[in-house]
Amino acid sequence: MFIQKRTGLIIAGLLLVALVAVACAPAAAPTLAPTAAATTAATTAATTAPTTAATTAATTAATTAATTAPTTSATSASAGAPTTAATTANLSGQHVSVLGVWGSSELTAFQKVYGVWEKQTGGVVDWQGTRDLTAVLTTRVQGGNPPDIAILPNPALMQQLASQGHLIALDSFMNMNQVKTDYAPAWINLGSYQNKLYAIFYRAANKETVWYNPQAFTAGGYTVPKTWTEWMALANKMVADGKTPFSIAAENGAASGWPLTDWMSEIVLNNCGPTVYDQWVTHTIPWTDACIKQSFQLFGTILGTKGYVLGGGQGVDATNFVNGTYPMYTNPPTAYMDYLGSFAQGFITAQYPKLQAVTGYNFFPFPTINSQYAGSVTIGADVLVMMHDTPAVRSFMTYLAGAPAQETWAKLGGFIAVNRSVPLSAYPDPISKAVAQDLYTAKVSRFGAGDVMPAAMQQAWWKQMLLFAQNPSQVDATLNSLENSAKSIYK
Amino acid sequence: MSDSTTHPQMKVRPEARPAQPAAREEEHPRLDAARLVHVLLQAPLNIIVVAVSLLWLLPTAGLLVSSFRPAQAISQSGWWTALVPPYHFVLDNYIQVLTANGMGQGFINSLIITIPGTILPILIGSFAAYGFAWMNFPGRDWIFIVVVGLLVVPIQMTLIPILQLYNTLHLTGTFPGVWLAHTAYGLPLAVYLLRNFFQSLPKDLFESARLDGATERQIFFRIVIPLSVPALASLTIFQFLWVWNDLLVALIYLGGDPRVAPMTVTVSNLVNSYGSNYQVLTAAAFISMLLPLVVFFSLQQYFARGLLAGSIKG
Repeated sequence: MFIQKRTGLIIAGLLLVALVAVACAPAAAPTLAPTAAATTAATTAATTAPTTAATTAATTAATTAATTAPTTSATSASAGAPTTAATTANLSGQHVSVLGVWGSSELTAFQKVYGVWEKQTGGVVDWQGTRDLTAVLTTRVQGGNPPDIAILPNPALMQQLASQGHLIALDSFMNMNQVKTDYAPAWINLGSYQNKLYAIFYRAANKETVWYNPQAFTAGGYTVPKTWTEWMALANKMVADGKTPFSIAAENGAASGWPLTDWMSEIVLNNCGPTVYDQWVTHTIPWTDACIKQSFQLFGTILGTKGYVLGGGQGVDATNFVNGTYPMYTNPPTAYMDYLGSFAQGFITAQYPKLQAVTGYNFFPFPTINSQYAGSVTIGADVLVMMHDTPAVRSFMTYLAGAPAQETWAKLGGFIAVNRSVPLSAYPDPISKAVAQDLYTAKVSRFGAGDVMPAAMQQAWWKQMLLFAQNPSQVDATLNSLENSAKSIYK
Repeated sequence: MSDSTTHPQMKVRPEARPAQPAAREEEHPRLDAARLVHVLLQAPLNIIVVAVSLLWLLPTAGLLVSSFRPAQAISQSGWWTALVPPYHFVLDNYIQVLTANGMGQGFINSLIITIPGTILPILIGSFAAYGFAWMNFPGRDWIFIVVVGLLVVPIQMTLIPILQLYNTLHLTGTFPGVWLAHTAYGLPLAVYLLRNFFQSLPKDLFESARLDGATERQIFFRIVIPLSVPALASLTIFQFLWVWNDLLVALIYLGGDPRVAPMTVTVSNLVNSYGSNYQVLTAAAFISMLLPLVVFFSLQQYFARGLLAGSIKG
């Protein structure tokens, strides 16, 4: 009896150790990542079989796009209603999981958007939110449990996932004619990998906006600058009046520095033009290129000139980018201009709910540096990608890509649609309307450089910009360091 | 701390008094002087202890003050400025958290995850620890070293392989999957702590129990467990806090699905993608702190007790 009990306990103990060992052992060999990934593929093959089958079917179908078009023509605005009506019966109770970074008011708005689809089709959307999207998504993809739809923060991640074969091509089931009507060619190119469409760009940010307080400008006798020369003259005038022209704030936790890379992207695009910009982003020209260097010197002038920037280099690196949008609207203002993407409107209105659009706060487009490239705009956008192929996911993806879904959110505010079929009348205030209009009519538009570069390059650039803010005269050292990083990152 | 050290001394002196009643008046000033010296000697220690506690409490105090301030004020001035008039405290942040979509479901899910996630590792861990401490079997020390070694495996490294395993076992997105994960992550520490504690129990206890004919099961439940309440209580608090506050494990294995997501996931959805609206996190922090505090205070009495009080009397 005694011995039996004892052996029982021993066995229990051994089992326990075995369990823990099994649970943790594979992790002890992180260097074996590729092997592990291969095993995943093998082990999950059974479960993902239908998906992969569908994908291959889709790929073959894509070559004969014309034939697939009628079956799921559905895509958007005009055709949206009939499709969803047709699929109503099939989708009831089917779940679509969506992984994204939205929260708070963004999530409430998105819930309204997918609520319409749920009502039409009977499908159910499971929102899975995390602000650490890249890490969570990578882990879940590696672990063989990706969400149905992911909303990525930048196209670089989408390209990476597409090249690894984790994404479903959208042209396999979407009506590409409708997509081409709704989206400018640049967006379709950005969302494509090896000539197949993998991504829909959803919520855009126009990054040409310099925010200012019109009343403070009137009181100081200042006028909105059109060119870089005028802009610097205005800044000098403000300094002469004992005022601080710029609020620049780059702090954002682990992502600190991105507001500065946004600055640089906009300067390079306006200074060097789209050709050089594209070469710079893909690293076909080095960081030490003459025009890139000149662009850094332009920004270095702003950062380095005494009295230009609120708080100096320390202030730039230590101030949260959201708080950096406030100094223009205090009484008296502590700074006069803040360059930040169109999403800054949300920060300003949240902090100062009584400010009137246009009269209380407004933006002017980034001043022209080289007249040849006047009206160039950098942009940002969330990227919708599809990772599982089911009728419900297809239906929801098609719905999101269409104009009605984007119009719903645009009306709620805080949303600039990428779909150009969304009417300008949908925007609830004159500023978001102007921002959207500038985006659709921009002569040249490019995705913010950092978001298109490889993630490692983007992060290296963020860090270098934080250092550059402290030592704006060190242009050569900064560029050499970035070029060294680039050499090891781009292959 | 200082209370327990000064008490015995003060009790000893009155007992000595009846023996020398005449010396009473003379002794009195001496006693005061001794006490004064004692207090002075203790003073630096006390001051340091109080200062360190205040320093540690400062961020929490700031958080508490911030949680009652309006959003605009939080981003404009430091929390300490709210401590001087004119006062302007509001409940907006708390209302926003409590009325948020899915917060009630999140609370219930948190309980469903945390209770088994605390009980299982401690139960299994104490069985294993007893085996390691008081049973002889081949390779015992080596297996124990392996278990202790598992303490240094970072949790992040286990995520992908376990997720792959869960996918084949269909445990992804289920409560049992998270229970198993938390149990496995909690076990090495539980086994390590409890084994060391069990081993410090006097050998005589086990010998006399065995002489009296107690089985291993009886020894474990009748002797070891009752004697180990303080150790078990502290472990319970650690494990409870760890599981209750966990966001990563829930996000990976549960996928953030609102039907199974714990409160931490719901709370993190209150902040938008640019990190604004973060002021609600201050209120959320205090709301989610409530239950762990209840657990802590209800188990706290066991810490103070002498570990072996009364166990080998008679």
